[in-house]
Amino acid sequence: MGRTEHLFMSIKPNESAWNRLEKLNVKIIFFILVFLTVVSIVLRLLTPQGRDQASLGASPTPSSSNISNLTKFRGHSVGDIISGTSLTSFGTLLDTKNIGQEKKYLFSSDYISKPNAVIVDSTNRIIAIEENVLGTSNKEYVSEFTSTLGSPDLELYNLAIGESVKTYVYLNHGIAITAHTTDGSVEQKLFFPPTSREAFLTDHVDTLSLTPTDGPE
Amino acid sequence: MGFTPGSSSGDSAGQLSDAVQLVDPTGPQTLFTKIGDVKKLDLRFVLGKAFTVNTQRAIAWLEALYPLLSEQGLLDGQYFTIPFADGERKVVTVRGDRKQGELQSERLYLSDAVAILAALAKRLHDLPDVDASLKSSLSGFGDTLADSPNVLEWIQGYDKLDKTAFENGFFAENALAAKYHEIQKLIELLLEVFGAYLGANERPPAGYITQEKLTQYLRDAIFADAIFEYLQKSDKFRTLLSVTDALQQNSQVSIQESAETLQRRVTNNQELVRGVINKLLSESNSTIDALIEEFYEEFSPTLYPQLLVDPPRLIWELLDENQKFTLYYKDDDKENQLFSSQAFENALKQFTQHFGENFEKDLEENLLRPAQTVVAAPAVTIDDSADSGDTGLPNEEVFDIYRKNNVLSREQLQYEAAWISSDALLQLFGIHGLNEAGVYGIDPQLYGDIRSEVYALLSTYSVDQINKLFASDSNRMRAVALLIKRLQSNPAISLRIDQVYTHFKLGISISDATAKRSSTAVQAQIAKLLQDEALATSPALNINLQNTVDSLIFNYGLNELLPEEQRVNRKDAVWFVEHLDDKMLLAIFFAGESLAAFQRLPSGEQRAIIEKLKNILSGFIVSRAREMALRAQTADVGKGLLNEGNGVGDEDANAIGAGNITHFTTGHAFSSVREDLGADGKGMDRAIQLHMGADSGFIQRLNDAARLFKPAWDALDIEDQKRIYAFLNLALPPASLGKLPFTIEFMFLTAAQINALRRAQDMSNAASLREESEYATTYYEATEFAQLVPSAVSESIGMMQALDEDEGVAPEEAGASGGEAPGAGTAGPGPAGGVGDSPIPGVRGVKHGPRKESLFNRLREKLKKTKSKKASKVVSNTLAKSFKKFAAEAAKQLTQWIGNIVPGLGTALAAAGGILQFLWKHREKVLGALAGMAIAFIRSLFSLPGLLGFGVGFGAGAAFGPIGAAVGGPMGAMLGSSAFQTATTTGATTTGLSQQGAATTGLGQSATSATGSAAAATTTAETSVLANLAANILSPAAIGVIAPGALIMMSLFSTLYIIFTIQGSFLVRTPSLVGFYTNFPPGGPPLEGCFAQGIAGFSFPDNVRPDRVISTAWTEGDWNTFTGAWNAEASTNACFVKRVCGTGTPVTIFRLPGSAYGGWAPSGLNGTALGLYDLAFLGGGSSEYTVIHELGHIIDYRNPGLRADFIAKTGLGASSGNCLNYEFGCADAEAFAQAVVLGLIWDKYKFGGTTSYNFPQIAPKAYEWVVQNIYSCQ
Repeated sequence: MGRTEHLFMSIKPNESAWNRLEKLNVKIIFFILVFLTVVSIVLRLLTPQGRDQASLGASPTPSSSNISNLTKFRGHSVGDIISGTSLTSFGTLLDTKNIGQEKKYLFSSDYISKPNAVIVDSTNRIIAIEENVLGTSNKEYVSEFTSTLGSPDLELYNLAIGESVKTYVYLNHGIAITAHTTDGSVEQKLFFPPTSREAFLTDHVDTLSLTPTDGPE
Repeated sequence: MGFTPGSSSGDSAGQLSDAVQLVDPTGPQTLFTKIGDVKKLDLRFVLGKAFTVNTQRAIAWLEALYPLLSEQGLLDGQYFTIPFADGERKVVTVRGDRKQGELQSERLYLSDAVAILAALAKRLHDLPDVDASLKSSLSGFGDTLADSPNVLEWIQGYDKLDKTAFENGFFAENALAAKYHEIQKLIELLLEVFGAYLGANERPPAGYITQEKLTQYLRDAIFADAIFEYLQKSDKFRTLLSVTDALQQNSQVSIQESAETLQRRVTNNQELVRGVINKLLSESNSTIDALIEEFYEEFSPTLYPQLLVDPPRLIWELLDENQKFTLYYKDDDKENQLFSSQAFENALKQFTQHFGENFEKDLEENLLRPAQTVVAAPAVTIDDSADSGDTGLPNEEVFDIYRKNNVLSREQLQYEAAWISSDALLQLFGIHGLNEAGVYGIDPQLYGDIRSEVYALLSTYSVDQINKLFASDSNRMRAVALLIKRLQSNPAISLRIDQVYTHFKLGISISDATAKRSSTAVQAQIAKLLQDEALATSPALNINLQNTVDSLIFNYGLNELLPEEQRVNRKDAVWFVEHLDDKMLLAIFFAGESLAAFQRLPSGEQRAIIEKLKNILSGFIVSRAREMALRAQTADVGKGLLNEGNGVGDEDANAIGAGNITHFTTGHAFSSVREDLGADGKGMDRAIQLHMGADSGFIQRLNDAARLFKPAWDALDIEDQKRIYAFLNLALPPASLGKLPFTIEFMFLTAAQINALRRAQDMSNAASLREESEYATTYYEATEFAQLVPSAVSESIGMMQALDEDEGVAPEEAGASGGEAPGAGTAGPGPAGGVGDSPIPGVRGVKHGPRKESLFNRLREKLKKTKSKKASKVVSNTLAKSFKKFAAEAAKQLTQWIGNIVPGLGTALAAAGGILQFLWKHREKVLGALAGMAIAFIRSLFSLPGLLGFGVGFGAGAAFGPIGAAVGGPMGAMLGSSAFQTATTTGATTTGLSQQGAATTGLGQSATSATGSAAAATTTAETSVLANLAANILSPAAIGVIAPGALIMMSLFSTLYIIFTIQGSFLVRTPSLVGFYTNFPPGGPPLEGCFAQGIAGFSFPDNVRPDRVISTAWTEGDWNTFTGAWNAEASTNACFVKRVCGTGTPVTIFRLPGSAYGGWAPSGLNGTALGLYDLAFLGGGSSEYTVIHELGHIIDYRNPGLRADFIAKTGLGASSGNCLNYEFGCADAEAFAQAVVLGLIWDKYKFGGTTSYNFPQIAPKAYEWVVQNIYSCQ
């Protein structure tokens, strides 16, 4: 109250009570609102952001998800040896294709036309995984990767899809994420053995490029 | 590695008998009197040489090779056997119905040649270690033949085609187009095969075979247009017609035809050629190269294989007869006698007299005499630099083969000599100079001088040295360099060069050039003029560009410039570049209207090569422009372009005289390449010496200078480097996260220029900026910052905090500004008017020391440290600071405002007064910062989410990334937030209060734009605020500049306005921001708010991309066409409108020049803008089709997940190669866009006016999806 008295004392004698009250109220409201403002901002900071944040970087605070979770497909990594029994863990096996010494397993995804693929060598060691995560109810965002894995080693144009997506490559982690440029939603993931920049670009020269290819269409 | 085109192996597999003579079946010539070790390299040479002439000849040579190879057992029951480098014989199996015996008794038809190539392609494809890209190209070649009997039939039909067939309209059938398409594919593959096969070492010296030429060849072979057209116009038609008939008949005549027939044919051919050439000479002022080119074009390739001599040689001879040019003959009495007009006739007469019984002997003695007898001069020592070191030349063994086989025939000598002479003269005189100086015969004295120098050069060499001199690309260029040196050392020639360039100014006055000799603006102007010049006339374009490409290849070496491509693709880059035709060069290096051609390059890989080349060439153009400017201003250029190196005396590049820049530039280009490569540089040094006449000391100085500058370059941040690139008109390399390569042009910038560039916000105005703004941020920084900061609040807070702290480091602010900032509610004092002073406190501080780390870098670091745990503390502290500084004027202002605000909110807003007061106090700084940053940051600053509890969630608004996305998107999503600029007035006065009446209804503000144009903007809080911002702030005439005195108003929540007076010339850095939204088109919704007209002069899609194109102004008619296309049907479909316009941000439609296809929705603009070319405005269905297709891309950009869902559910797109009826490269995005447009128009129009596309029937899944998701969504 002392503080209030002080305020009253500062009021001139001929000032009307109403005016004094008004000034007092203004100040009280003012400080209340200051308090609310601070609280709202703090809450805002501490509240996870919506998923439609910017694609790269404007991501929520990195979660505790570890790198291995991000670089695995249903618990499997490139380099794992798979067996007949473990095949089921990849999903419903749709088809198997022999490609030379290698074998390509196609597993069901959310979309029939876009099955997930696991490629193994002659020793049943996984050498690549292609996961299609587009449009699922449980969307992933590239920001989750950047917040955990840091900036990608390569940011490539995807010639096969178009320029509404970009492919972000982590060479050492062996993962390439193709995501929409507007919201960062992941459409494809490619798992591969860690490799060099040159080797990766060479291996994917037909579909991934450092330069855009757009122009008159 | 089974097949390495560029290697020369020493294996002896496939050796042929020395006794065999290879006879050219197309003419009575013995091509080689002896065939020694015919190995892969030689075969490649033979084929390559043949292809240099024409395909017909190549096939004929294949024919000639056939018995030879057969005799050696190389055919072995098949058509062809190729001894590969690994010694293994690869048997080529031919698919076809031709029996073995037929080949031996008949001509090898084109079909056989194609079949052989097909088989070869297949073998190459099957080899295990063939490069993947080549393998891909080869894939299906054989199958193409097998699966397309029509093609084989077509080719075989060609074999048997004669004039009658032509007249009967053999190919007038409807299927011609389809066949032609197939043939086109074959041609491409043929080129692929031969391109790889030829390798890098043997480049055709001129008149390279291109796809276009091959196409033309086929066309001519079929229709013989050129011949017949010419003959019909020619005065000698009647005489020549008989010859033509004979030639037509000859195509069916075997090489065993009678001597009499041959004799007649030879005679007639000579007459025919003479007639044509003389006609050309009389009608044309063409240069020699152009003449040769013209000759090739004029003559059907079916004709000149029948000639006794190569056209170039005959041209020289006839030029000689015309007393125009006799440069290239050895000054040997016997030679002169032979090739003088009368002597030639005598020789020809003698030849024809003996024709038959002494045929081969005559050929030997008169026409195909070995080189050693031609070059009679004593041997002297060739320049050491050409003899030693790793030159990349074929090895001695190969030279031996050349010598043994007299490969360097007389024709070659003449041709090569002509080539290097032409090249040297072109380099010295330029295309204008050649004409002006009368090099070719107009001035007999000059002509004689040149001729003497050429002779003097060549006469110094022995046979072996001659062989080496012309043995490879690099050596030919050495020869050119040597000739240049010699020509320049001749005072008379040098004087003439001087005279040429005295008159050759390209419109730049000498005084200008002198005053601004180091001005890149002048250089840019000249570069533009050069470009215009090159574009103006085809010959100039051809020569300039091809010469540049030649220089690129020869001087710099694609191996060095494109190491990755060369390694990966095994010389494919060389092949690719060499086979670019003029149109492609035009398209690639000058873009513009022919950009579509570039877009249709077969692979991204080749486009990547081109991108690099464009970067390199852009440097060349600047360099050339500089050279031109310097030549124009100096009278002593004739003393030797290449001899001034000694004048360079200082290691500091800034001290190097402008007159030496040419040398410096060129020289350092070499040394730079070398240094970048880390190579030993010996070869490059020699090249510099040869090419420039520079001594080793000069080279050393160049390198020293480079070493001085490189660290400075490396110390620049990437954005600074980008600005410098832009300033120098250098195209940026493809998107890269790393720093840019060191550019030699950097060495010519002064420290002041560099500083200005480093600190300026707009490169185009950099030179005029004298001081650094502490808050001159960059787009890069702003976006980086925006991406790194976890939330909009902390961005704002962080900025304020930084501003507070910065007060302590800008003590000059108060003094320089002359006092405190103007009080609230009063106008800014207007521009201070001080020379060089910015009226913006803080900006005005002239006494800034070395540039500190940028504000946003510091902020970024600061905020990164604070992150979430400290966020609340930061906020509290910042607010506390703000309250402490709650100024009386701000309080007064706020109180006034509050009084006019929605009851209840005013007090609440006062709570934000700390922030507002802070902003107010620092308004100038804030605006300074705003002016230089991406709109994304503006958004961050004002979207104080949840601040008062009635936020509308805009803090989690649309994403922003690239600037294109940032513009409009976030701001547009900020309901109730807006900003705009009011009248530009000097010393503008405002209280901001008069606008408050509009507060509750948004900005009912009438204002005049910065340029005075009407830009009244009445808007509600719900309309796109950024559009209003841009519409009011910006105008076409003031692109990128927020005008001095402009009043900026920004609103928070549509209720509270913060008013800033802009007092300086803020340069809005990102054209993406400023180039948009000039005004809304008239008309009602949904057009309004959904589209905006793009301004003219906008660099589309940005100012960085090398393939950018400058937009033009809209005409009313074009805009009506666009709106008509939109309103035809799409605008009435709510779902479609929602997909396109749902973000609330208008799509800016730019009018792009040129007749390239449709439109362009580039990634850099991320769905905010669209460019439409001429063909989008044909009207009717064509326009609707184009517009809706392009809007399909916009939908893709603006609706994440939609396209992916479409692809996943329909199976269309790249993986299946099914893009419906989209023809220009299948990618998922194209399949999607095509489905979008088909869903609307499939039953309305016919493609090409004739072809229906029953979308529901052909692609039911896609149709259903589009209907459900694009045209009938909720």
